[in-house]
Amino acid sequence: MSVQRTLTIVLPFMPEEREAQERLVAAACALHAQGGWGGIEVLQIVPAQGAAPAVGSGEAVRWHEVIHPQAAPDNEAALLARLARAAFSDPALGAEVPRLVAWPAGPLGEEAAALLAADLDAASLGRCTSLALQGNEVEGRRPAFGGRVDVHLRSQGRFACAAWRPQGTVPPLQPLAADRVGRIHVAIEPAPQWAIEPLHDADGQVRLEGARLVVSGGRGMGGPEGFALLSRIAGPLGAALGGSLPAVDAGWVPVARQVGQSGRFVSPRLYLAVAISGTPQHLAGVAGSTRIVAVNEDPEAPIFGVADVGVVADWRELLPLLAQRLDTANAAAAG
Amino acid sequence: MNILVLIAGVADPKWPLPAVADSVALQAHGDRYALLSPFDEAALELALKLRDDDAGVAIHALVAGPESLARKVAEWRLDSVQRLTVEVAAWDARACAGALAGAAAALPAEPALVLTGREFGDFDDGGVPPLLARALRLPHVGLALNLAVREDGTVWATRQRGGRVERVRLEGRALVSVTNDAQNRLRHPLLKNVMAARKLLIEALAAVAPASTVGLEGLQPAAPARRGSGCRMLTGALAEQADALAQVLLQEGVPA
Repeated sequence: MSVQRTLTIVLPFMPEEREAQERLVAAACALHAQGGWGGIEVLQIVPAQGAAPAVGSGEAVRWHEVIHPQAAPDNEAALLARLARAAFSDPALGAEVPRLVAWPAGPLGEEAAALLAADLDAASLGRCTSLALQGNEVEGRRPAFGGRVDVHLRSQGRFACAAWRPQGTVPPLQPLAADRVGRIHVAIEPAPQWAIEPLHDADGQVRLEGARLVVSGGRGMGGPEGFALLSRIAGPLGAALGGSLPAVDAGWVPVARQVGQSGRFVSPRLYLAVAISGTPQHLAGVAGSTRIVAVNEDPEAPIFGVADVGVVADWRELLPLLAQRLDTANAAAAG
Repeated sequence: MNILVLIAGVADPKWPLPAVADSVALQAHGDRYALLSPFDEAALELALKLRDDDAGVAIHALVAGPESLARKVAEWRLDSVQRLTVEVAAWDARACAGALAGAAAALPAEPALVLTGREFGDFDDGGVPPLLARALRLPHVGLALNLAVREDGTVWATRQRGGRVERVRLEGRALVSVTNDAQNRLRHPLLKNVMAARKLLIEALAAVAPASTVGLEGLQPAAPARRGSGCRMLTGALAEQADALAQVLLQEGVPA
């Protein structure tokens, strides 16, 4: 009788990404509940015992702290893949157990997933929006051609690796009981340290990840002045600033704030899209549960087809008025 | 210094995809409407900048796309432009990287630097560059914004890391995957080089594609995004629109 496949989630040690990581664990619990899996194991890479809380839903999750002193938020993907590979050799996990190994979507998780696939001679499914099990075959779906095509992939291999950006709602999580949490001390050769010169840290503005509200601009902003105005609007709202790929290309907003298929994935409650046409590539970076408010002077812009609230107006005229009103409301709230 | 730039191209998004989406039809569409992706352009521009600073830099390009794309790349007067001809499972990053690594290894001049876009073609979402680096036994620096050679000869890559920007010193040969940035927008080619590229003989380079471990179950047009139940338009005079929009935002915002 064949061994059932285990659903494995690997979480790098990134406290600032905790919300997205827990969402991945919750999505794994929901996927496991569909049946057919041998279990769920979460490999939380940490520098020391108890450095990250263990959470789960139901009784299926086995949580393993993968402890290595070099674990840190700025780990290179190659080190993360090596740590995961080393953890699989631990008797607590079992190297030969068939697995689907999922990493958080994003540049780091995608690179680590690909490298681990090479290490394990596994199928590399890429950045999937959905994962499933058919018999003992893994299925993954992901966008291609700028979000215009859905690719449906399948693997029969013992191991498959993916970066996973789950869609839709996920069940709530609870802290795991201590008896469901294990520890694996991995011993690997220290990763080579590159000479690094920090240039500048985060820009001091609200992070895109975890923001309740994102204010974003596109090609139609026409220049950096428009983004200065967007920043002024984002400030009193406590919103994060974002931009589309053309706006990043033009240098109006840094690449760290690019939203879209090739940029960040955001899941705020509200996404204010100013002068953004609404291409599939851009919308692929905005969660389906997010309400979109669109401002565009073209009433035929595709963004209005997916927005919840729309304003047909020239942002040059509208945004200064909006900023005034937000400043007034902010001053009134301050007393 | 020898630089190898790997180019994949993407299908011009201005043109609608074929109604019947299968791998053959998409391949034909991609070949017909191929253009450089923003990441391809960024990788090529960084190579050109290094050549600007040092006339001894030689740039070789390997184009995994149609001849028209290879000819486009030749417009920047590179030292060589070759077109990679290989039937590979484009949705399988490991297979793609294996084919590219085989082709790169067959080139006569070993590159000190391999540059590629952060995503390689229409199917890739960032897996090919690190896997190619692994196959070539090179360190990989991702999300690079810029490259510079210092007076002491060391090469430094400026890269994005989360919310930070930092410089990394490349230790020996390396593969650098490049992301788009205002500093690396591709320059326009000179007209004389554009004319020369039209007459250039583009050499084809065959490569062996490794067997794919990922089966393609199907391809289908992506369903249009569905959100909410229709768009509520805020109408009226501009001041009224601004009032209504402020109310919507304040309900969701977190006052600073």
